[in-house]
Amino acid sequence: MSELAAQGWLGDWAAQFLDPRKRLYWGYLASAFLIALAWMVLLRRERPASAVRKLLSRDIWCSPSARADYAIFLINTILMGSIVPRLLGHAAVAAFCFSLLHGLFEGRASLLPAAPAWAIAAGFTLVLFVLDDLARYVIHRLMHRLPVLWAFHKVHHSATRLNPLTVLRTHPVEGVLFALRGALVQGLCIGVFVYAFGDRVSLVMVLGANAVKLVFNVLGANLRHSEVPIRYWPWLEKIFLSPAQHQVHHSVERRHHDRNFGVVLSCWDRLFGTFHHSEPDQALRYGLGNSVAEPHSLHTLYLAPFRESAMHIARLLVPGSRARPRAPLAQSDQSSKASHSMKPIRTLKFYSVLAVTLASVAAFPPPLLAADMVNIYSARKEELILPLLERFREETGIGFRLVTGKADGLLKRIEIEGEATPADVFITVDAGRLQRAKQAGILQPVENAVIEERIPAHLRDVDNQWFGLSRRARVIFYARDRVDPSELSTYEDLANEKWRGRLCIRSSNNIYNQSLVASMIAHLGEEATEEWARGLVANFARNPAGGDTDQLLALAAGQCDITLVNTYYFGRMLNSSDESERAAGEGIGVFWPNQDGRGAHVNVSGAGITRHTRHLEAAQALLEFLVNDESQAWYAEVNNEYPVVPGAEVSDTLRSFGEFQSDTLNLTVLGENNTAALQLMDRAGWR
Amino acid sequence: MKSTNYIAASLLGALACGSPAWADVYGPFPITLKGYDGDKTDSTAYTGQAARQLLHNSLKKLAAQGDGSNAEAIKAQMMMYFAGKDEGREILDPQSKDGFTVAQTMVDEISKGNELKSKAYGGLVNGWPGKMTSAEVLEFMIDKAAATSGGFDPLTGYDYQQLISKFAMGAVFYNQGVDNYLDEGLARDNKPNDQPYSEGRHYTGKEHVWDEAFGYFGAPAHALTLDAEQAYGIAKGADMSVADYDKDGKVDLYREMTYAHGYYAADADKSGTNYLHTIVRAFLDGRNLITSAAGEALTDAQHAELMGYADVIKSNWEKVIAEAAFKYAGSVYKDLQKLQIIIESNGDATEAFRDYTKHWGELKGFAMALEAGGKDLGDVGVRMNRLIGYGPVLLGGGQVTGIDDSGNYVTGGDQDMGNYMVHMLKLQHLLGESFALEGRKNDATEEMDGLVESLGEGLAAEND
Repeated sequence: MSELAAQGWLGDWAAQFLDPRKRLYWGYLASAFLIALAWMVLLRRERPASAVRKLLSRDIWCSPSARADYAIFLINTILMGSIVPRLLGHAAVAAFCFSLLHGLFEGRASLLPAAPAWAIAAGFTLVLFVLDDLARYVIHRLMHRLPVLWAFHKVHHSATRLNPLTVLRTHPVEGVLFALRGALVQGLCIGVFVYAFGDRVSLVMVLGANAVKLVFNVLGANLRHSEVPIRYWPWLEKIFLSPAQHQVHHSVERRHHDRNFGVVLSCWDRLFGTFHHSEPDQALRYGLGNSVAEPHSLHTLYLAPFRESAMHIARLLVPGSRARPRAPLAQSDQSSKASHSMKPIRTLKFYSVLAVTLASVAAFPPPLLAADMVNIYSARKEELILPLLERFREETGIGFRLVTGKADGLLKRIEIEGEATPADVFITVDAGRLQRAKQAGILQPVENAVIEERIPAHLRDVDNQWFGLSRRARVIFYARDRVDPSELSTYEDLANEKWRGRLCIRSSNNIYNQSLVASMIAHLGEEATEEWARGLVANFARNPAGGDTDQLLALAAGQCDITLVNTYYFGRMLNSSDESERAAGEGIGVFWPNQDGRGAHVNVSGAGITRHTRHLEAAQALLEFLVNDESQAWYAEVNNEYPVVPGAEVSDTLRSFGEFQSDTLNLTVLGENNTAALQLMDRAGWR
Repeated sequence: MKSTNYIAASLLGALACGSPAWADVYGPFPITLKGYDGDKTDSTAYTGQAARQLLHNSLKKLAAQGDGSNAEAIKAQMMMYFAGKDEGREILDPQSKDGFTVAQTMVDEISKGNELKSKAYGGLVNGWPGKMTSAEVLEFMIDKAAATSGGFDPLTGYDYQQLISKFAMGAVFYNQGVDNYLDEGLARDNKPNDQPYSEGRHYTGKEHVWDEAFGYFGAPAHALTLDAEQAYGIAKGADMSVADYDKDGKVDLYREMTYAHGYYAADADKSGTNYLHTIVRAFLDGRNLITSAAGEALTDAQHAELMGYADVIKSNWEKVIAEAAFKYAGSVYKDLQKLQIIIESNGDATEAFRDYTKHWGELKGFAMALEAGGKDLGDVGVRMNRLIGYGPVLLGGGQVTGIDDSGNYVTGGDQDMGNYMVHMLKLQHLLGESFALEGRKNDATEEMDGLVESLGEGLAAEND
């Protein structure tokens, strides 16, 4: 066992110098040596032999500090070999993020499908590098800030002579934190990128190593831990940390404390106020000061940090405790770093997006051929339709089976089920979708005098294949404190440059926006609508994101001044059980556009009878029921919508929005113009 | 008499060992049964199993032949291959085609009076609703399949051709192989090697037990002379020259064909694993060991060695099935991804949905097969069944959740397609870890593993 273990350790030790993915790869050490030599000879005018003697000085390489570095390197490699495999790994974090995203965004995304693999690889490599560098900065700064962690990080700072192996002079506890940091940051990157870009993601590699890290290493990363004070031009030090800047980080001088925490990029230090230029002819003393008795003994390096850290924890747990760290590394100049104040660090915030849960689906035996039965496929949630269906059953004695699901999926499902479909009635939202159902051939024309009489012609299909059941208007909402309603007038006016950077709106993927644009095409023609869309896009306060409620929240939060949203979203907000949402709603006003002209754009939720229904009479009875006054009032109220039947009661909330004139364009046109609308929005740059 | 047979066995054994080609072929093996004085010279016999392989192949073919109006007729035909013993059953698959001639056209030409139903796993099937035994599940599926058009039910997403085939392979072949012949069949006092398998047979108890297990696995006798591509290609009728080992111009459906799990082992091996050869090598080594006992009861040492070969076969056979389930979980994941894009762009989802349900049927069939080996998979089985559910998630959401008293499916639940993709990821992880899979075809998280590898984060505690 011992022989095998020794062989394994030997391999692990050797790997540090033979693997181009490691900082101490012989090639990087050689490049660092050559860079240092060139710098000393060419810039410092030293004789080559003298320069070599200095670089290989026994005072550095055989110092007690260096000997401790070597011992730590040998011991840690063995220790970490048994610890790291037991820690949370990159793969586990990546898999977790990957899975989580499926839940958050309902499936798998495929972003930028046309982007070439090399561009994705370059993006991945760059993002990984930047995030990793930032995470290193954050953790490093915490190591100095928190006494509990400083106890361990001190081991690294106890080096009194710097050589490239000092990079591995690290307490194993700190090693564990570094491993976890790597797993979290890199796992997150991998999970997110693979989720979004699939097999186009790869790491840009040179010689089997991350290309960015390779460049960093070839350009003398090992000189950071050396006594060769290579400086960069001041402008370059503001971008990349020079070896001399990192040496400043190791300096015992108080004015150098808590400076230059970064690794490659110095922007983090500049951003968070810890940046420090290197100094000309700097002759620095390294370590923790004179108070440390035996800074290089293994006992001090490995065990003392535990004791000191435990003391800090004890003090935290028992305020007033007199326990004071008495470990040899405790009282030093450097230890004061731990008490330095620190500005709050901006950590990454992960936003949660609520996954829409499908409503549960009622029992569904296939041969539902009983005459007193109707089968409904509904894209509206169960709670928004079920009470009405139960009432229908009570009044007519006709039973029902309800399947609820996502609108577009249900439409495809009826298409695929073909003649076998049990669906008799299809309920969905937006005239654009209803028209898609008609175009897909899953609906049939219905001749029914009651329905035709009650639903105005413009709110049903020209061939009576679908009928509106409730109306919603897509109108302007504005921040009461920043917009005077007299400034508002029409949809067309939203393209006016007075709204530059003031408009929030959701993306062009959304059917509500597509239908609005389809209506504009019908009224203004394609050319004028495209020009309008361009003006609108120019006025965006931010890239389109989120749903309608998010636009209202953005408005309330001051991210924009006006938005276009369906009325029921505002109704929901005002009736929300969440107090903050209700409060946000109070600062928002509704404006009915185009009241002197064609009226506000309206759309519908609606229903049609399927082409292959086996319960035509029952299905018609259901539609008749849904357009009676009582149903209309209830259905509109629970959805915060307007009834389609003139004269049916409107809820108090909607009444508070005021009266309005609505556009009477036949909604069939919205579906017919859908493709043109989509193409137009794309051309206008509406993402 | 005894010594004569022993000498004959030794001579044949030596002959077999002296010929490199036949050393890698399963059979013929000499007669070792003591007291046998008939004229047989080959003790190898798994014709009943080969006949059942053909019954399964034919049943699968029939499962897709309904047109929505011929349910009774199709069901009667399917039942004939599933539960009947009548003579005169035609081999519906494989049949001769251009460049690939098979030697038999009727099942009876290989063995008479065989059926699948009575050989199916007798325990309850947890992965299918209705608390039925595997024979009941298969009969239920046959009934439903006969009423569909092309074996596919668009209302539930069930592809019965795949479900019936993959589950029958598990419930009959895998179960008989690992739970019967390589388990109870190998018990010391069961079918001993110093007795004929049954009265009047020319092979010993252990010889035949071992042969039967081999027959259920479905590899051609000369599998060790073939690479994975070739063994796979035989089942597809791709290359007559590699199938026709005895060069008689025809593919013998008894000894030269690749069936069922033999086919799926070869399929996995095309990507670098070595299941087919590992399993067939263990079968061959075990059979040679039994032959070397020369009709005597196995010694303790011989029995222990034989059990070792059986363990190799059983564990690798299980992996073959788990690899297939893993692969199809990946296919289902990719199909869902494709469907999502089609639905979002209002495209035609018909074909993509059909692909998805076909792959789901294969996944489900293999997952149910894993539980039909007679081994309690414990929480792995429970988790696997919960992740897959009783049916594919339908467009818009929901899936089959049960069967009502009339035998009709009940659909519902709040499962949506996005969440079901996560289930497939978790399922691949579960299968990969639980069965220590190496092949991992269609691994949905493969890219991530590659990236983790390329980062090369290692053992060093490197400071900043």
